[in-house]
Amino acid sequence: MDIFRDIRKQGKTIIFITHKLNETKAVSDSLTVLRAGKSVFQAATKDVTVEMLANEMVGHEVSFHLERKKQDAGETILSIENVKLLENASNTVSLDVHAGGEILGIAGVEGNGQMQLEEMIMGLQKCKEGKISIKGEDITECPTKKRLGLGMSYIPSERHQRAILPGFSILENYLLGNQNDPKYVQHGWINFKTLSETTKKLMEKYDVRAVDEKQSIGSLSGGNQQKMVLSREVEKDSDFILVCQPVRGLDIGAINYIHEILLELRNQGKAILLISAELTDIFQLCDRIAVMYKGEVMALGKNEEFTNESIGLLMAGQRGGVES
Amino acid sequence: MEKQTVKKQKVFLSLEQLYLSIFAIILSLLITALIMLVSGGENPINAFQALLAGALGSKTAIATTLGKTVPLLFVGMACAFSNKAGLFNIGCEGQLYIGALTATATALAMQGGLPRFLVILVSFLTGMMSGALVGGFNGLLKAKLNINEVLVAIMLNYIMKFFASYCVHGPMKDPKSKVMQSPSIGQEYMLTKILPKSQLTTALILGLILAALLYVFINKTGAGFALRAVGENGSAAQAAGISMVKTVIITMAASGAIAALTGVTEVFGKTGKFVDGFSPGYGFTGIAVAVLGNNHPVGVILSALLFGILESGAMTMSYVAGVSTSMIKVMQGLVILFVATPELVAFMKRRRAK
Repeated sequence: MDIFRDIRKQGKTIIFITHKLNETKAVSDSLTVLRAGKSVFQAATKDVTVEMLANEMVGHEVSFHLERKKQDAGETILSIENVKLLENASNTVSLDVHAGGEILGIAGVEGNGQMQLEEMIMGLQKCKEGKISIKGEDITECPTKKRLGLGMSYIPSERHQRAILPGFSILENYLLGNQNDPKYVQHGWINFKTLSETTKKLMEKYDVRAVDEKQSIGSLSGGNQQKMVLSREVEKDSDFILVCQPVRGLDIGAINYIHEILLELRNQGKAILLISAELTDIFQLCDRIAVMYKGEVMALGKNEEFTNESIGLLMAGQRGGVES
Repeated sequence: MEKQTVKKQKVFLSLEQLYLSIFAIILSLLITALIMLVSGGENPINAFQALLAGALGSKTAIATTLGKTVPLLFVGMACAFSNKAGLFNIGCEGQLYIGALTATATALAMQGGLPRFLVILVSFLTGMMSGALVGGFNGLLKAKLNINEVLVAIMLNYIMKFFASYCVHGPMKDPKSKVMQSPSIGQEYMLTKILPKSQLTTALILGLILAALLYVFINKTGAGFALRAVGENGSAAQAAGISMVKTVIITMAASGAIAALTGVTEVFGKTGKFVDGFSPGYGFTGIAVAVLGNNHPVGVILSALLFGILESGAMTMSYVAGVSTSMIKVMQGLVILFVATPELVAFMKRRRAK
């Protein structure tokens, strides 16, 4: 941003293309909103609010304050006990996520043990120290297939590496993770009819923009890919969902949509573990927040107990940021 | 407008490989023709005419061509199958030798009036099993110990080939023959000939049926989907609960079993005995057949046929147009080179991007 300001001081003109609204507000003098190839809104930056911009970008009202109904915490769905995430971490991590509708958020700058946590929970990385259980059953040594079968859904942080088969069609990507589901595979045979119907139905419901279900998923935009992944995991109706960096690289419309869905799931009584480096995700969605730094939990508390400043300090490794 | 562009892209993607293969063939034809002109002053048009006449000019010729296509069909399918899972089965050569040896030994042990169908069936099954064991072993080492499957396969090729060779030099040698080969399994236990006095047998039908079955398995079953998912993106397949270890081992075993059939059909269709060193490098040509055919059963069939035509017409091309049969090898090599180049370029681009 400072570089832009310097260049502007030199008398140069900058055209800055972004979907990050805060950046626009921070550095531009005037702006225009493009939607579906047309310039739909022009204004001087000082005259607009972020909310106005969002509404123009999406084409309809975008709610920034989503409702989190008060829920009573139920039984523990996911339990992480004394798990060592990083080699040189001095402390282990213990966390619980409860049924009855709860989102526990792991806030932190990426690279502080979140990937390890994500992979250990799903069985993609060996958990050498500690215990992980789902619904009371110890899954520390279980293969991924078993964990999924016990009622876990997974939205990976690395979408391209872990969540999709880029060269395959949307239809076949829908089968990924569902290849053991008798709804779609009977006696070893893929039921293309059911698969196709479900895929088309969900593409419409989640507004996944594509020509048809046979289009290759790699050719979709990031937002549409993520919506497809989300729809696939949500449709499994699992009791526990692990959601990692869900809105990375997405535009405000997609971000808002995904937030709405996650909150809806929570209101339905699901247990959700959200790992995100985006504070908007954390504060919008989470009931409780744990801040992660260098593989350890710096603080764990209710959403209301944190502020932008306190969480920022904790993410940078400064303890004592929680207001009790 | 957008809809049109996307549709074009979809169709193009599946045809792209076809164009590529055809282009590779044409290009290699042209360069071979050039070499013929420059090196020997031979007329390439005459040469190619002779090639085609020799390969397809009569019923006998066609039968011979198809007979030469059959082993390439099996080994091509073996390689195509493993390729779909992103695995490279370079062990086909060893697998076809051990398959042929085991099947021959089984048939020889089952002499004495047993029903023909039973002898053939059991021999084929033991042959396939031996190939599966070798392939599965390779897969196991890769899956559990992350040992490079190419290195292991190459070593196993030597072991299998020379073990088989040892057998027909010694314990399994036909005492009545000066050649290093096994005793004959007996005419009654050989596959039926489609055209009398030719080398074309029901092995061709078996091959085509197998191609159809593989197509159905790979594209219509859950297990086939898991295999393809591993080939497309192993990490995503893992995250979706697909077992990499299981998939690698089973795929390599199946590929080994199919490769073994190459050798089995040679014995039961052509020679009736295990002849030392009978393979002119089928295992390696199979890789080329698979790649040229884009690992698709139909592609593999056509690709095997092309190579069969080249093999079959080489003699006639030599007699009639005076072009050395080595020119066929040149052409085969060029086809492989041109088909493999785009993939090689893409691979190097990816390496550089990392």
